[in-house]
Amino acid sequence: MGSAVRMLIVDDERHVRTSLAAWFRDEGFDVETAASGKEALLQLGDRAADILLVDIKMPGMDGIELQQRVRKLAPDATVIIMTAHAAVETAIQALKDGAYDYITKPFDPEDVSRLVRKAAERYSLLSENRTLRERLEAAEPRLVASKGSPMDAVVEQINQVAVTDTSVLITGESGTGKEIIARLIHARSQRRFGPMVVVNCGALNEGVLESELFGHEKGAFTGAAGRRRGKIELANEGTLFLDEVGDIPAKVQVDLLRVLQEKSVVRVGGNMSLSVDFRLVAATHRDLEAEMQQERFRQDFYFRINVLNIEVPALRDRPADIPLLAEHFLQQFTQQMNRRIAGFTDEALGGLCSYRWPGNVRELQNAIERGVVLCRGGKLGVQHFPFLSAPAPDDQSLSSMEAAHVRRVLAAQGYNISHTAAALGIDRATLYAKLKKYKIERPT
Amino acid sequence: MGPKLPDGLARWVLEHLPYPFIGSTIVPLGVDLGECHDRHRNQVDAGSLLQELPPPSDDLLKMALVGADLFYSVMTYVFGLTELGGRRGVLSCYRLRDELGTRPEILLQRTLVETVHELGHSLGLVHCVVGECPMHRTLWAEGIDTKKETYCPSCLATLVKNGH
Ligand SMILES: [Zn+2]
Ligand SMILES: [Zn+2]
Repeated sequence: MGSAVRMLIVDDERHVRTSLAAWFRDEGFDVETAASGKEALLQLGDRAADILLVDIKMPGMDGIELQQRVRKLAPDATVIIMTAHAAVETAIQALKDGAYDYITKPFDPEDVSRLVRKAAERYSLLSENRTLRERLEAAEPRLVASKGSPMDAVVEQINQVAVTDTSVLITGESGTGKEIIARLIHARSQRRFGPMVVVNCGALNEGVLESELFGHEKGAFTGAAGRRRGKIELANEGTLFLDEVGDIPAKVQVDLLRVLQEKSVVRVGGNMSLSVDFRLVAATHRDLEAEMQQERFRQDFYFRINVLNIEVPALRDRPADIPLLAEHFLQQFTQQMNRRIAGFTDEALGGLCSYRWPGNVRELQNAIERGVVLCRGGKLGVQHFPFLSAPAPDDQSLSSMEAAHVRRVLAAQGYNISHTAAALGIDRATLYAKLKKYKIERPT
Repeated sequence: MGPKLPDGLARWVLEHLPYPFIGSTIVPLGVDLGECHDRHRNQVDAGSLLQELPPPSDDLLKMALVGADLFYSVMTYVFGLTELGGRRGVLSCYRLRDELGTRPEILLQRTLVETVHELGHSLGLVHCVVGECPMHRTLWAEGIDTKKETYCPSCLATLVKNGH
């Protein structure tokens, strides 16, 4: 019951104390307030608190110090840090020190309610969730970027949207790492203890996608042998990530719009409406505005998913990050393959930095992986990145340019013939003919 | 000062108020909303507005219904604000509109349900776990559509116990 939850609000600003106290009394909580860390500790001596809402910035003892003291005094109390947008990094530090969560001022009422409800709900499950959080933290994906990178703005946006619960549309070319952005949004959101459910909408045909998203009841169609919960249902209390949302057929867009409006889902072939609570994060490499003009994408659905937009820059637009990313992937793959490689030659690094990377970070990752496979010790040189070798300056013939281009695209596509042919806009037979003509072989 | 209250909204809500609010009346607000308007945010400060309302009396509940968007202290917005058991409150219909704008009747019903919600607070009711109860906390305006305007049995029992 709500009345069992004892809350202590610690803030030096009176109006914050008053407003939050009113808010949580409405919730049925037993609320006390303190104007300073010192006062809070005195109060805790008299009356235990289940949840503490602590302002990070107070004169005298600040929120971080108070939290550390509370941890010793009442290790089972849940501490939630209140912070200004500018101090989110400090709040993240507080999380590492054991704070349960943080919330940024000014507060979105939805966020406050959900956060504290979850804190209250988890109260009896504290020990389990502590482990869970450590696991979540360890699994949080890493964004590699240099100081002053265009990715800084993306990170800022992630931190801003993470604490809200609105729909986010992530746009950017293929391979720019849109799913990592989505994972970070989830990992830094209040839903971090809930599930993050991913659906790749581009890979599925209409019928399969419907069943995947909405689930189905037993016997809903031929082959539906048992009941299946859809991804939407599974995303309850968490985040639903729709990758390649631009590929969703119009009929499924309508059904998804209904799910988003009604916050409930009906399984295919079912009649029971299940309420769902999730945050939608969608991603696409397509220009959805253009798709709308062509009437391939519904406007109402677009407005629903594109409440906030994060545009991920192409790798060529953040060249300063390339050496860091290359080093990051080199370490990753040398570790995985148990190889010893002493970095890159200057020439190779220069080549990697000036290359256009049509396949973005994913292409760079593939290239480094391939380079590590090819390299027999020493440093990675241009010879390990065949796509870097441009036609010789004294040979400007069309055929030699074509050969170089085919080589480059082939390497960029990881030597996959179908993908390379598609990228070049030719069929496989034509590609094979060109490989033969230019004596291009897959490196071994 | 933000949007005005739609014509006829207060009247409709009044006519549909359930027990124990049947027989209520509409009086002019009597407060200059401009005094509580934050030009920078283009929102009305719910806290100041609440303070500006005439003091409550034992036999009268007062609930101000406004068209302007409300904020309260560090809360970016609130649907309404009521002193728990304090017999007076404010409610904004600003965020209660049907997002697609296709069903105007939605605003009427949502405003009614949230009026009953705030009145409940003013009589000392806290949030209720019953999803259909007007005292259930909803985080989205669409969420209000699953609630009814009549209190659930346990909320009604609490009111009766408190002598209302
Ligand atoms: Zn309420
Ligand atoms: Zn109730």
